[in-house]
Amino acid sequence: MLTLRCHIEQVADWHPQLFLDSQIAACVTILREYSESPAKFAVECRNIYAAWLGQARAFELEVAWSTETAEKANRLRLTLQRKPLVEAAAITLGLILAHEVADLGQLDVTEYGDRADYRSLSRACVLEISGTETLAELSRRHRQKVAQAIANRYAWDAYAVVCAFSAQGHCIRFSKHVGKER
Amino acid sequence: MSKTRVKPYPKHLRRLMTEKTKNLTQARTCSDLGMEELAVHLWNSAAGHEERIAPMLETLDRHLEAALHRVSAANCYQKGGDLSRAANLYRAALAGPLSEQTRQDVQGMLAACLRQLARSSVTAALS
Repeated sequence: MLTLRCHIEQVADWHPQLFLDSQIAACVTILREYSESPAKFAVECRNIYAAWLGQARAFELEVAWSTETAEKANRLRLTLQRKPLVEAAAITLGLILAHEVADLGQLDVTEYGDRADYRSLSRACVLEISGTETLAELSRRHRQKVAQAIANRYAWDAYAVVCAFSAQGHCIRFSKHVGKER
Repeated sequence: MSKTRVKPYPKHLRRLMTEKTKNLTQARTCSDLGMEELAVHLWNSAAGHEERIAPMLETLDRHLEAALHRVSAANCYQKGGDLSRAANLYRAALAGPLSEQTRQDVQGMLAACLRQLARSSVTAALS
């Protein structure tokens, strides 16, 4: 199986326009509860085409972190509730896939109600990301995110990323969908 | 509007979007961590950027994007406590080519903003 390896600190370099300190620390906060560095994810792709991926429809993502980031994660754990921690962790992983697999280039963030919208400035597409700690919820959450992604406000194509953090093994479902504009 | 016909973003607009995105994501972080004073400053800064970005997008015939950036500006001003400006920007966004669902969402946001503004006006009058 193909393996994509990265250091979580690289996410900040790949997306310098985003302020990601707390998201990265949140991701490590969650991951450290399940394993030492690196954490491994089974990534299932649907409708994702990338040169690196070839004909493969699944790969393993390995995410490593430094001791400095682990220390930041310890501090963050005391200040954030569980749900925002999980969502922030999922955002970090979604941003890895956006850069390394989907090649979405520079992302723009806009504020909409209580949430942030992520969209690519290089390609007409948006990015929907969510996370859960219930493995059994992965499919349902992914369907929900796909529905939201397809109905995106720009009517553009959309990528949906849903991460499930679990002691039985972490999983990510990553898919692309045609927007209403076509 | 077909995505194949739109004009690309010029460099100065990309730069402005970069600064705005940095401010906006910092504001979200500060807000999540309870650093409200700093968050207010950053929300207002992000809102100011969004306000400048919207008309630039209109010059590129990206009218839907312009309207959505006005919604973002309004949301940021509302979080920064500038409710009058937020209300004006929600109204301006509603003049754009939003989808029916987004229009309903924005009308709800405007109504909530006006209620908040009314409450703050009453509080100001009593103090």
